[in-house]
Amino acid sequence: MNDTAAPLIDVQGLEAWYGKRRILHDVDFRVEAGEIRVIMGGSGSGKSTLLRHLLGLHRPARGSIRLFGTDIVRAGPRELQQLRRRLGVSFQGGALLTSMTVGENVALPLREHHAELSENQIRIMSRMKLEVVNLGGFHDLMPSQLSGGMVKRAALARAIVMDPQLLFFDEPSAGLDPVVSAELDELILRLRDALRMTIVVVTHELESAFKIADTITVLDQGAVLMTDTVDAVRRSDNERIQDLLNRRPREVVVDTDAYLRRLTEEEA
Amino acid sequence: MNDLTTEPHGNLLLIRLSGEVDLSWSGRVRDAIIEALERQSVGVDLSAVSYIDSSGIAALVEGLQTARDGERRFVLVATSPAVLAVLELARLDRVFTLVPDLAGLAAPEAG
Repeated sequence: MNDTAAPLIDVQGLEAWYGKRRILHDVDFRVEAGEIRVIMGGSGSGKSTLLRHLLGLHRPARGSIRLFGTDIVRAGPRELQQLRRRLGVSFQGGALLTSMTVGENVALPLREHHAELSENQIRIMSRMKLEVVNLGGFHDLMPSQLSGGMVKRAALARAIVMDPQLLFFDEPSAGLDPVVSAELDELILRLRDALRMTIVVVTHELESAFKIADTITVLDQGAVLMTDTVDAVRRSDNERIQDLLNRRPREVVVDTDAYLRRLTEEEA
Repeated sequence: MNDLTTEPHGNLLLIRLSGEVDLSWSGRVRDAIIEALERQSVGVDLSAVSYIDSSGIAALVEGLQTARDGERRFVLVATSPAVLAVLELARLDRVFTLVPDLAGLAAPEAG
């Protein structure tokens, strides 16, 4: 596979709709190997929708999505299976299975994808990842016994248990206290450096974004406003970006006709 | 190039690894370490390892576990920065005995 030359993620002309509402339009998004890319934007900017498309959870209305050079919209089940071995995802809510211990949750991807591993190997590899996220010794607990921050860290341990080349991290700092949140930022940087991961983080936390990102993609109302380095984004004179950076509320533009249609039409 | 060679060094067997130690051959690394520890103490030279994944680290942990059970020495020699970064990530640099070079290997174990 030609991993080094082509971008790890290559999205072109992506368009997405929920019903009659266009959520993403004409989104181009490329991430190079070894990069930490932050997708930033306010609520409803389309960042979660973009993430769900990157993970293959939604089919795009238009456009192409390539991961490691593979078109994920057209790939067969076998190709997708191969691809999944190289991906890790840490969902915002953790998505741990409540009927399993923390240790079993973390070991799950190894059991699913690597039948050749012995029990001892699986135990060491999964518990090591719990150590990495500062949850050493917590493998016997049930998810319900963990705090919100611990659930998030356990989910991260599961996401990195197979040493993925590409890690997606949805809202790492949401709902965490500042210390845990800063620790996670630090960890993201170390994961990239030590395990050579390419990492895509979706966040609306500016401080965290500026600390970890090599490059930032700013989404606004379903379109990419800008993709550039942290400094360039900070210096941008784009009004919407400055609104985001300075937490200014945005002006809502009212189109009278469209507004009336939304309120009155049966099929709206 | 991924490679594994062995040579005797005093009363230890020195296992030299090179290249990228990953899931594709970490099982072989594990077997070589465990087998050697059945007979003698082992040093693993990691100076030429450019990348190691969790399965490779797991092989080293199994080595340490086996060495302790058999009361042998198990030492990591000349750990490359790439390997050290992964060990530090899980704080395993404080669990293994690390020596900077072969001279350190000959010295009696501290502690």
